[in-house]
Amino acid sequence: MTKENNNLTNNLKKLSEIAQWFEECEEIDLEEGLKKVKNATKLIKESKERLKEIENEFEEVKKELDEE
Amino acid sequence: MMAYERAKQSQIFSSKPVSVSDYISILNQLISRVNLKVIGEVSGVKVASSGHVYFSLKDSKTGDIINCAIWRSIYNMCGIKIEEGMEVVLSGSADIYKPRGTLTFKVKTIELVGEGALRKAYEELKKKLEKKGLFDEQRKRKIPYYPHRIGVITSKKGAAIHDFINNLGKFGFKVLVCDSRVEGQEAVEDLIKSIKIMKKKSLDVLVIVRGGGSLQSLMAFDNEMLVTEIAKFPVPVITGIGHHEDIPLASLASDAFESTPTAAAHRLSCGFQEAKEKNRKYEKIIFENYRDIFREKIEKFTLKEEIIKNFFKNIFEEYRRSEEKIKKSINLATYFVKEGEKRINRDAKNIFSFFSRGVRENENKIKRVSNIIYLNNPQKQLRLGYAIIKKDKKIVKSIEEIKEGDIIRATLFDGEVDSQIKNIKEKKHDKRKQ
Repeated sequence: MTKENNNLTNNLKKLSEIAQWFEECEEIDLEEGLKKVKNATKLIKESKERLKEIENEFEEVKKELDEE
Repeated sequence: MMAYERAKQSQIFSSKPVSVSDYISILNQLISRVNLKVIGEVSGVKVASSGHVYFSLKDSKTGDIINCAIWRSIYNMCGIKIEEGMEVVLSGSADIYKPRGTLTFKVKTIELVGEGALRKAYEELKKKLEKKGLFDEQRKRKIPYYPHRIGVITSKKGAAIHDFINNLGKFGFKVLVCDSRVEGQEAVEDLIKSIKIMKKKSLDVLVIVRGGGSLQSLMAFDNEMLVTEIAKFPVPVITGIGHHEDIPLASLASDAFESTPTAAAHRLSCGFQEAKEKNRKYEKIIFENYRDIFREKIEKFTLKEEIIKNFFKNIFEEYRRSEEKIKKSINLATYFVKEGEKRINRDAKNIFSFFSRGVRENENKIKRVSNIIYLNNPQKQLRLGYAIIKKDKKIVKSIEEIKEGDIIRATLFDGEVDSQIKNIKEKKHDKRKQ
C-alpha cells in the first residue's frame, strides 16, 4: 500500500471516529465540536485529494525469449 | 492442404543426389511448417522412464494411424492423462526420426474432445486439487483494499482488457499488462509464462481476465500447473473469467474470483469507491450534526434570552407598578401632608388666636391682680405712713393682743422701731359700727 493510500485509511478511520462522536455524544460542547469539525475538514480535504480522478498508468510487460 | 500448397510452390529441384540425412533434413524443414490440429483416437500409450509419452493417433473412420510423442514438460503442463480410446485434438508438428526413418507427430497441446470428456477431466482435477487444499478458504489472502500496482494477464486482442480498464476507475493505478493467449489449450503455456514474469514484478495484486466461453474454450484455466502457479503466487490473485456453469479451477484457486473482467475491475476499485462514499457520509454526518447542534444551542440561547428578557421585563413591570403605587402613595401622603399643614395652619391660627386671647385675658387678669397686689402691697401702705406692729414676731391687729408695758416692733417704710406701750385707748365708735 502506498503512503497516500495508508493516509486514506487513517483519515477515514479518524473521520469515522469523529462522526461516531457526533452521533453518540448526548450533550455536545460547541467548542469541542468546532475543534473536531476543523480536524474533520482537514481530513476530508486530504481524502478528497487522494480520491479525485487521477489517470492510471499503464505499462506493457514483455516476455523474455529465454523466459521459462 | 495449405501446407501442401506451400510445399508445392517451393518445389526443390536438384540434379545432384543428396544423402539420406540431408534428404530427411529437407523433408523435416518442409513438414515443420505444417502446423495443424489433428483429431483422432489414442491407442498404444507408452510412458517412457524419461517421462516422455508415446502413443498412436488413429483415424476412427479409416483406421489410419500416426505415431505421436509428447515431451515430459509438455505432458506435465497439459494436465491431461492420455488413456487408450480417448478422443483428442492434438496440436504440434511432425518430423522424421532419422535413425529409424519414422514420422512422429510432436505434440504441443492436447485437448479433450466432447463435453462429457471435458467435464470428467474437470471433475477429476477438481477433486485432486481439493484434496491438495488449493481451494481452501483458509489459504485465501485478502485482496488489498487500496491496491496501487496491479498486474494484469490477458489477451491484448480480446474485449476483456477493454472491459477491465474501462471499469477500473481512475484512482492512479499503476497497471502492468502482460499479453497472453487465453483461448484453448495453447494458452496454458503462455499463461504460466506470464505468471512467472509477473512474479518478478512488484505488485499489490495480480488479475487474470478473459471473456466468457465454453468449457472447451476455457480449458486452459482448468490446468493443474496453471492452478498451482496461481495458488502459490506471492501476492493475492483475482480472476475475472467468464463462465457458465463450472467455475474454472483457476478461479477456485485464486484469492477472489469474479465472473467477468468488469466485475474484477470493480473489485479492485471498490475500496476507493467505498472510501468516496464514506468520505461523503462522514462529511454529511459531521457537518449536519454540528449544524443541528449549533442551531439547537442558538435556539436554547434565544429561549434563555427570551426568559431573561421576560424576567427583567416582569421586574421592570413590577418596579413600574411599585413606582406607580409609591408615586400615588407619595401624592396621597403629600396631599395629606398639605391638608394636614393647612389644617395645622388653620388650627394653629385658631390656637394662636385662642392663646392670644387667653394670654391677653390672663394679661388683663395679671394686670388686674397686679393692680390689686400693687394696691394692696403693704409697702405701699408703709410708704403712705402706715406701720405694721408686731409683738413677739406676730402682727398685732387689736389692742386686745397687747397690754401696757409690752415691747412692740413697728415696721415702717424704711425701717423698724421698737417701742414700749404706755397707754392703750380703745376706739369706741368703731365698736358700734361693728
